[in-house]
Amino acid sequence: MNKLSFRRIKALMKYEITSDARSLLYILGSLFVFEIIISAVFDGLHGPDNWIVEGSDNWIMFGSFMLTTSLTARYLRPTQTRVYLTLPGSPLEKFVAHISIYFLVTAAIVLVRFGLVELSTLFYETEISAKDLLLGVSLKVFDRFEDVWVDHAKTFSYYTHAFNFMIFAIMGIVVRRLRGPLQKVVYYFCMFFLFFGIVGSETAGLLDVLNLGKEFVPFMPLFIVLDIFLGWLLYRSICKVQAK
Amino acid sequence: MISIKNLEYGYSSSKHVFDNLNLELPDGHIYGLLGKNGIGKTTLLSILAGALFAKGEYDIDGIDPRKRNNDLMEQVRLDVDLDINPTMGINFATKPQTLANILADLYPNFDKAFLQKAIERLEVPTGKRLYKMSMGEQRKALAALSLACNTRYLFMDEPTNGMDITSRTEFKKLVAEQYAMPCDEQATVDKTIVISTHQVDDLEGLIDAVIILGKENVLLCATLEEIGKKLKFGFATPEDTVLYSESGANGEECVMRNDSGMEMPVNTRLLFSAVTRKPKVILPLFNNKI
Repeated sequence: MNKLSFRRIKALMKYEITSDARSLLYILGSLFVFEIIISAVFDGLHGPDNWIVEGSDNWIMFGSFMLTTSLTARYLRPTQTRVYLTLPGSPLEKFVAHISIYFLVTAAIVLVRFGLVELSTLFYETEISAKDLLLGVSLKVFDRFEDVWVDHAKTFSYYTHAFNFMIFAIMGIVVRRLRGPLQKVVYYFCMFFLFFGIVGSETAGLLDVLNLGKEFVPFMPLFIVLDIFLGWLLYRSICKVQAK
Repeated sequence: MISIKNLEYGYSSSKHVFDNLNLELPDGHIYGLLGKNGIGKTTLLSILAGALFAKGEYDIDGIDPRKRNNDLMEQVRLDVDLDINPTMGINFATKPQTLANILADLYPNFDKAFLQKAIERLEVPTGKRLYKMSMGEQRKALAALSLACNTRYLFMDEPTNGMDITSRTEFKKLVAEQYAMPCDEQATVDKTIVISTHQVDDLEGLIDAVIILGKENVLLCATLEEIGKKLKFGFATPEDTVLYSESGANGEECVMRNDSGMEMPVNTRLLFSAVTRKPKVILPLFNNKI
């Protein structure tokens, strides 16, 4: 077995990003525009303080769902997928490159998202100078990470993540085995379904309601391994997606 | 060497592209891949490059492209047409040099000196990002990059599509220069390039073998030397055995049996017409192997 080459992985990551940078920008742009519209609606209904702070966790999760879906959709786009897969690099290196982009971009979204939330909150709270605003945002972002993200992880985010991957893995296998128009119908149905994060959100919500999350906290590393395994399974499945 | 046995492929159960296709392509040739629209030229190149999976046995140097083995992928470059596949390359938000740096990290024999030469001679606008270039400029940039990858196997789909006349001539010269040389100093085997095109004039003087695809299979695969020894092209005299003829600008152009034993120049356009329209007359002269 060949050793992993970080030079190749880095090059593959660069290739992936540059080959579809505009799509990535559209995805991010759409995400934020959509959020602004929705937040405006919710603000009108419930008042700004409630929604922006309380709802932010869900929207981060929602954003990561959208991103995962979009990135995976890029992989399932036949030509782009196939050409990328013919580049040098072992399947494992391509997977590492792909998943690294996923984590990096998700992290960037989360950071920006937190930044936006805190910025909005600060604006609502008080009139402050630009310097204080920047400092305040920075501090608040880290505070929020500690308060919200860790807490979030303790409850259901790993289940959601694992479930997300599992759905993609199953979808990859199903799509691979189908052919013709049915293949497209199933694929777009899955994409649509996952795009709105209904499956993950509802499952996560259910687990939270049933208070199952806290019981499984010690097994979190196992879920990370499961995530990676299912991601690999998904990737292998998608690699073999063929219009027969 | 590329070897294909009993290859089958279809985009759906009703749209069969290849059925029991057999082909052997020895190394060291520049192949012209010809065929009508939708016959499967791009599909065949994609299958060979490991982009599509087909049924049957096929390998490059004994390695199955379906495994996408890194050692093989480093020696295989698929260059597909942007115009046909806009989702592939139109979003490249980089300048050619940036993409070159990425490819140089992926292809071990990437030839930066050759790229510089190709960019200058093809007059690629290096200051523009790829997605902002015109179709011809994009094609020139990607052709230069693919040639610079310096792989042992290069599959090019419609490389001259959209190129201006001067660039087409330069492209031919660059292919000849790059593929006449081994990949690296240690290489003991020759490089192989397969170019699919409808612009047969672009291949004149460049290719030394022809693959003509028919419906679901290969009609003809032969070197120009073999073709030139068996057929001759031009205006017929009463002594010639005419196998195929069609009206040209200057009269009736013919494909004739060459009984002289000497190698005659091959007219690729006429050959393609003769093979696709009168296969039963032309093909018995060839054993379909190079």
